[in-house]
Amino acid sequence: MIRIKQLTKNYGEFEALNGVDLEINEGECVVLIGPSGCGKTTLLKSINRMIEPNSGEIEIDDQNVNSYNLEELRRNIGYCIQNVGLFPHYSVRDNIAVVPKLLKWAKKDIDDRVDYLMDLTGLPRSYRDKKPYELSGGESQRVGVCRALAADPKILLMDEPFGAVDPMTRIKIQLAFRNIQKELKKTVVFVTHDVEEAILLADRIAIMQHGKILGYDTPEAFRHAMEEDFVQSFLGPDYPLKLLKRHRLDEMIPQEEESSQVTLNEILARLLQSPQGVITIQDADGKDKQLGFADLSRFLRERD
Amino acid sequence: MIPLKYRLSDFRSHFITILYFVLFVVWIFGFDTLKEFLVLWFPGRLDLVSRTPLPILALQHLQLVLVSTGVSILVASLFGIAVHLSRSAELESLVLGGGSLLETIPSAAIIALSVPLLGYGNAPVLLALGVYAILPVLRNMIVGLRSLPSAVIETAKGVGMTPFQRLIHVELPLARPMIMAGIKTALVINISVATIGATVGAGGFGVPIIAGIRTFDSLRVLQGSLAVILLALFTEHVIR
Repeated sequence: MIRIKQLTKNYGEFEALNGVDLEINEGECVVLIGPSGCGKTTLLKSINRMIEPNSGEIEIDDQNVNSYNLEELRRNIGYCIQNVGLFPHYSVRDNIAVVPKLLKWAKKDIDDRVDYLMDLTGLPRSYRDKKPYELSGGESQRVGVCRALAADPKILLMDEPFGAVDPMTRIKIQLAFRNIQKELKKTVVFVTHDVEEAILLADRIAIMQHGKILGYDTPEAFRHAMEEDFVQSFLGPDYPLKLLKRHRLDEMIPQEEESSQVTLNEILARLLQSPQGVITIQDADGKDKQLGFADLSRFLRERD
Repeated sequence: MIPLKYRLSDFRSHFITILYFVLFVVWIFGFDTLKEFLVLWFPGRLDLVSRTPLPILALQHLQLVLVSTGVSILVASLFGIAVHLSRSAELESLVLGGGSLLETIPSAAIIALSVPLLGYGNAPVLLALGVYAILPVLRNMIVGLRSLPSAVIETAKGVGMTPFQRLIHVELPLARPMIMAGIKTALVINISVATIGATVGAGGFGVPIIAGIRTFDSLRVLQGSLAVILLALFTEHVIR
């Protein structure tokens, strides 16, 4: 559990953080979203003390971050940044093993952990001895995620970790990360300016502007705040449509394995194409089910 | 699997390095034979045999260069790392300014001025060479450590490395090419500057050059200078 109280940070005249309060529950993925300069990265970097705030407090498990030894604090928090920052002179294996090595793990434990993480993130084990310059952007970012997870920290800080890859690769990594997060239940603080990424990954979204948090809630709950200006401008007037991408068809109707990745916005697209506004979906038992616009709307209401 | 083009270029640069080394050795040990032919183009006196054989001069020259540059590398590394760890821009400009100031003193002046204090022989030459080697090493070290990719440095901090661990595991290895370039510059400069050491009684390839100039014997000037040139070229290629 991370508790942030009245955090402020000034860069000269500029107020990057202006009295931020935030509580992040254990095992939840909180996405900080907002325009550039809104303070989201500053907030993230205050947690592992990459940035020292001017005033306010941050507590991890009811203990002020300043009371931890600086290096120890950082070794126990996974950290993943936009440019990945892989060490160019280290192999993939050594890049992933950085924190376990600093924590003086046994070599065997490190090797097992590296294998486990590479499997988890979908990196072929043959990549162990490759150097960062031999990797594509997407592969580098997977290595970055592995490195952040390496010492099995309870908390992960991710600063636009998937920002610098093409959209096709990005969605793959996002889905892989969502599955990892479902399995490992880390406490994640994730910075992005991409609304769809936020909706896909977040248990809660914090919308930031001018160093303040304007709203902090589950993606579904923001649907009811559509009349508020900041929701309109940050999440977009088409927010409910984006929300459909977060859910898969098999949450409505149980599906066979191969079609379980179909998202509800694809179903909406098919509905729009059908002349009667009704489509027929086969469930896992092979039974046909009728599906209409009202079913989608009811589904979203049930998630509130 | 290393791509073919890397191996080819590796082979080429190894070949050049070895070529310079072989030419140097041939020149050092074979000069007495070669001079029979060279005298046709470079007038000189064949009967005059130098008191110290060329291989001994080579050892003296190498000793002057390696001892002085070695000490300078140590001093410059200590200052460079101290400046880097202090993260102080003032200290950096102070140290770099001091290094540049030393570089502006002509080496001949350092040698001439230090003879009354240190006497004739190797000592004043070692001092002059040492002073000359500090700046290239120091500057490349400071600049090399400062201009590393910011994402890598941020990550090194973010994963919880102490400043010292960052230096050993990340910053020095990544700045290595830059640091080596500084050491190479220092060595190559000193290989040529060391020749003036002969004027105050230090050995080295300066001995035949100075003697040749005094006696209008271009063959002896060539004897020393080609050795210096080949040694500098070899050094330039062997350090990477």
